[in-house]
Amino acid sequence: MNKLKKTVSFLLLSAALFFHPLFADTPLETAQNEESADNGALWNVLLIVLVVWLGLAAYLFRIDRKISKIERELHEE
Amino acid sequence: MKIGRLVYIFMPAAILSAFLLAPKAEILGDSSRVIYFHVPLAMVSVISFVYAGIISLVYLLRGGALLPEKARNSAGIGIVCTALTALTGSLWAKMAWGSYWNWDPRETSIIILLLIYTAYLSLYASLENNTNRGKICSAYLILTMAVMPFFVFVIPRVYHSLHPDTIINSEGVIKIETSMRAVLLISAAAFVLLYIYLMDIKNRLLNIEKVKHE
Amino acid sequence: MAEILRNLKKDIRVEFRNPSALGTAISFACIITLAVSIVSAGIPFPPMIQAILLWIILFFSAMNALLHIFTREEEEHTALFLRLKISAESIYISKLIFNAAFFFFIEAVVCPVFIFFAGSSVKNPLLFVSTVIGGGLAIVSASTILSAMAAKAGGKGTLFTVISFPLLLPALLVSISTTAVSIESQDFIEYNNVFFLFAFSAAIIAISLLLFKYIWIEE
Repeated sequence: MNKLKKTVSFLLLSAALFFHPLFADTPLETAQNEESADNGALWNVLLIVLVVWLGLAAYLFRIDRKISKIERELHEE
Repeated sequence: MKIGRLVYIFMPAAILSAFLLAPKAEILGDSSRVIYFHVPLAMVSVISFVYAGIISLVYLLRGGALLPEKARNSAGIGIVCTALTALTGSLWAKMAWGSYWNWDPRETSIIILLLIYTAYLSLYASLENNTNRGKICSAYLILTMAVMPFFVFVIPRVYHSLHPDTIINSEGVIKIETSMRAVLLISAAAFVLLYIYLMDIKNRLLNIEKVKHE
Repeated sequence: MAEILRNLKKDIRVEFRNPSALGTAISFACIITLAVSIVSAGIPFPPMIQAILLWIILFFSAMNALLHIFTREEEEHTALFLRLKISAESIYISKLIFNAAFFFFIEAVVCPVFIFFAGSSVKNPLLFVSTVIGGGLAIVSASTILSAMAAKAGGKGTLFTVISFPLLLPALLVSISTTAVSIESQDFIEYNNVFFLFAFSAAIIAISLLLFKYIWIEE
């Protein structure tokens, strides 16, 4: 259980930390440079967050399936 | 029917809408998108605390198998979410207000929640060999339940706070733009489902361990 | 009622048989006060800093002093006999009264020493005294039940400090700000805070009374 918790927290932490690129801009600049470099940063952050989520989801899915298998085995006894 | 599994649909939807669908906020621009992660994380921190407190109360009043262990699982998820709430909040604070930490009433309440979780998990761990562990830890959670709601719900609404009034205000109305509200709702649902899913997995593991011990 | 008094008398007698705990607690508080005063070399602190220092000293003295009341029971193995003879609520009330007397005595020694060495003059002594009493009561009411929990968990002081800090933080914050006001000025508006401290103590005592038997009685 500790490993699960550690991995989950690591992945969520990375997701949170990946907002860092956005903080490089000051508020006023962001409002004005709507069409330019900012959107690029936005796409990158979105991609990274999605990748983090896919990793987490794959891990959780694997665990879920393993647990279901064990439960089915226990029920058959 | 496991509701938690819906997280596989809701979370990607929440992430995508947070970045693509949601409009930019007026002054803060794109960095305001962290609200779709910060607020649901805060909600889950409080939900896991309340859940742990309620099952502790049920355990003391009626007893029940494995309830203290479930409270401990909830606290485990809660402490991670609280730490992440504080982290995302402080990053956002740097963006919006210029400094990382201000001891605003809401920020103080999240730190108190973090301390409560830490204390509870330390108590749980140090009572390893005690057969009365469940009752002692449940008693501690109930004691802290008397303190926490006051700090989290009452004080930020009474005293002046840096946190914006859009959701927590004296009129009790949610003053936020409709499109942002929709995305916030999806995001909140996604994180609550994540919490339910993680609790589900942990509790099933508990049951399996219990069966294997017999 | 008679049980409570009997328990109290027993506790006081045991305490005087071996007054090391009382002596250690007072020495600890005085040492910190002296250390702060020496290092600051007589430079006066602003009232807020004085209030913060006073309550930090009081809090850590409490962490030091208030744990032994239950760990002594566990160490000397008298805990089992107590459990058999007397109801849990009576034990709790007698320990609470003992802890309160103990801590008020410590406060009565520490506060004058602190004020003397900090070189300040308290402008509103009534508010100051009532805040110290209210805050002290809050610390004691939380510490009594938490020391029972910590004693069951091995009696370590660090665990006791960790579990009591979150509970006591609201009371400490309120006490500090009210003490600062009482040192600075003669305002009377801050008396709500004193009521808050007493109400907080009452709430914790009420909940602890209900919860104590779950901690104390093992099956």
